[in-house]
Amino acid sequence: MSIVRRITAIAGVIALVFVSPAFAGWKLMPAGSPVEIKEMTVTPSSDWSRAGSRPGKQGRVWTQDGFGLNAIEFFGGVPAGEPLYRERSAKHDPRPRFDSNMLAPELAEFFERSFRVQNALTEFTVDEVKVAPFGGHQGIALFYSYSLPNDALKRRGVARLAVAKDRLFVANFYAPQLHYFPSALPQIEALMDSARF
Amino acid sequence: MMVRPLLLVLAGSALFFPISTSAQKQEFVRPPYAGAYEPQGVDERGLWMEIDEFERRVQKAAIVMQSHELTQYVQSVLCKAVGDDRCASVRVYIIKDSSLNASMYPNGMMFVHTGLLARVHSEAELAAILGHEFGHFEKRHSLNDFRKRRTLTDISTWVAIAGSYARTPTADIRNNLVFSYYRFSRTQESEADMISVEYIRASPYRLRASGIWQRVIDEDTALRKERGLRKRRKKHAPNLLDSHPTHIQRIEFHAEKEAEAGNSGDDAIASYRAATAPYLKELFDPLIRDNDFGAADYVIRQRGAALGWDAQLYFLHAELFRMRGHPRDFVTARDLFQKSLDLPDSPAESWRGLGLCAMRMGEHDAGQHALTKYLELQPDATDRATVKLLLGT
Repeated sequence: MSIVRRITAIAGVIALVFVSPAFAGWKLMPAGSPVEIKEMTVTPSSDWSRAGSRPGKQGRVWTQDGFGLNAIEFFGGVPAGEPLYRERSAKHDPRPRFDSNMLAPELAEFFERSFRVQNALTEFTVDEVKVAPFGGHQGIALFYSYSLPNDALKRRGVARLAVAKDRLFVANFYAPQLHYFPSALPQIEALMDSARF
Repeated sequence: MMVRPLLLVLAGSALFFPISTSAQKQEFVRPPYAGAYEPQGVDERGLWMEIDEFERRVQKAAIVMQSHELTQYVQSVLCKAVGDDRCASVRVYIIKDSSLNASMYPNGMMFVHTGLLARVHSEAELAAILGHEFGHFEKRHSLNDFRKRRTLTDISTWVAIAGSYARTPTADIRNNLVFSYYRFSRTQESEADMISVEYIRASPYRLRASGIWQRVIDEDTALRKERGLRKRRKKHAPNLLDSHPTHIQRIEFHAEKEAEAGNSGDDAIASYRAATAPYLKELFDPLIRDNDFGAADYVIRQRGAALGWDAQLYFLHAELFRMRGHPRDFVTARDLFQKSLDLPDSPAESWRGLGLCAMRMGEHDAGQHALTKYLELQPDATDRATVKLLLGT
C-alpha cells in the first residue's frame, strides 16, 4: 500500500470516529414492560424512545417520531415549592412553583403557565378541562392547543395532573393537530391510564 | 423583558443616510410621497419575494390577533401620523406577544405587538412608535441593513483568509467589523426616531415619546426589584453590540424635541382608551401569564393611573395576584375582584377568581357562593367540570 493510500485510510478511520453521533443517552422503552419515573410507574403498549435529558428534576420525556411530531412528558412527583420544568436561574428567570394547596382549576393554570414559559409561547388556548382519574387518584385532564413562535403549525396537547402525597404528578402529551395528535390519542390515553403512583 | 422596539428582521448598506434636509425644515410639511413602489435591483426584489412569502403564512397564523376593529384602529392612527398617502402602503398585523415591540418589513408589512398596545397610553404615543417604524420603511432600512451585513461578512471572510495566508492575527479587525455593523444599526434607529418626529409634527398629534422610554426603564426596575436583583445602572452611552440607542439617549432626544414642539397637537387619550378598552383581556393576558409579576404589575398600574381603572383592568390585576399565590396575594386579589364586580361589565371570571381566593383563604361557603354565580353566568366555561368538582356537584 502506498504511503498516500495509507494516510488516506488512517484519515478515513479518524473521520469515522469523529462523525459518529454524540452519545445522547437515548433508551428504548419496550412495549409491555413497566417503567419507573421517580415515584410513578407507567406501562407503554408500544415502543418509545426515552431522551437522556430530563425536562425537569422529576421528569422524563419520550418520543416515537421526534419531539416535533410526538412527545410525552412524565413528572413523577413534583414537591411543593418546586417548578415543573427545569429552572435555569431561580433569580433571573423564575418558573411558576407548585403549591400543594392548589385547587383543581389552579392546577390547570399552573400547568398552562409552566408550559407557556417553558416553550416561550404566546399562543396557548385551553380547549377543555375535565375531571379524570390519574394514577389511581382524582385528577384533571386538560386539552389545549398552541403554536410555537415563528411556526404556523397548529399543535395540540393533553395533560393529566393529580396531587398525591402533596406531590404533583403529570403526564403531558403534545403533537401537531394534523394526523399525529388525533391518531395517537387512544394509545396515549391508555398509557396515561396505566400510570400508578 | 426584551425591549427592542422596532426591530428590523431583515435589514442594511455601507452608505447610511444623512438626516434628510426636510428634517431641518421648520414648517413640518411631509415631503411628497411617490407611492406604489416596486422593489429595484436583485437584492431588493429578492428580499421582497421572501417577505411576501412570509406574509402569506402570517395571514393564517394563530399568533395574529384576529380583530378587524382593533387592527383598523391601529391603521387609522398610523394614517393620521404619517398621512393617508403613505399609510395606504402598509398592512398592520397585531401579534399576540407580551413584549413592547413593533416591527416593519420592507414590503410594507407591520407587526404591532399586544404588549405595545398594553403599554402606551395615548394615540400620540402610539403614533410616535408607528412613525418610527414607518421611517424604517420609507428609508428602506431593511435593504440597507441586509447589504451592510453582506458587505461586512464578505470583508471579514477575506480578511480572515488573507490573515491566515500572511500568518497575521485578524480577530481585532474582524471584531471591529462586527462593531461597525451595530454602530450602523444604531444610526438607522436614530434616523427613524428623527423621521418619526417629523411625521408627528406634521400630524394632528402632540409629540409624546419620551414617556414611553421612561416607563420601559421603570418597568425593568420594578421587575428587578421584585426578583431581588440589583437595579440596572443608568446607561448613557450604548455598548459596542447594542442595536439601538440606549433608553436614556432616546428619552433625552425625545424630551428635547418635545420641548421644541411645545404643547401643540392632540394626545387623543380618551379615544385610545375607548378603542383599547374592549380588548384589555387580549392585550394583557400574555403579560399576566408570563410569570414576570413585577413587570405586569407595573404595566397594569400605569395603565390604571393614566387611563383610569375599569372592571376589566381590576379583574386582570386581581388575576395577576391570585396566580402568584402567596397567602397575602389572595387577600389583595379578593379586594380587586370585589372592586371589579362593583363596576359595570365585570367579566364572569371575576366571580371565579373571587371564589377561588375565598376557598384558598378557608372561606368555603363564600367560595361556593361565588363559584356558583360564575357557572350561572358562564354555563359553558371550559373549566366547568373542575369548578363543579369544587362545588361537590
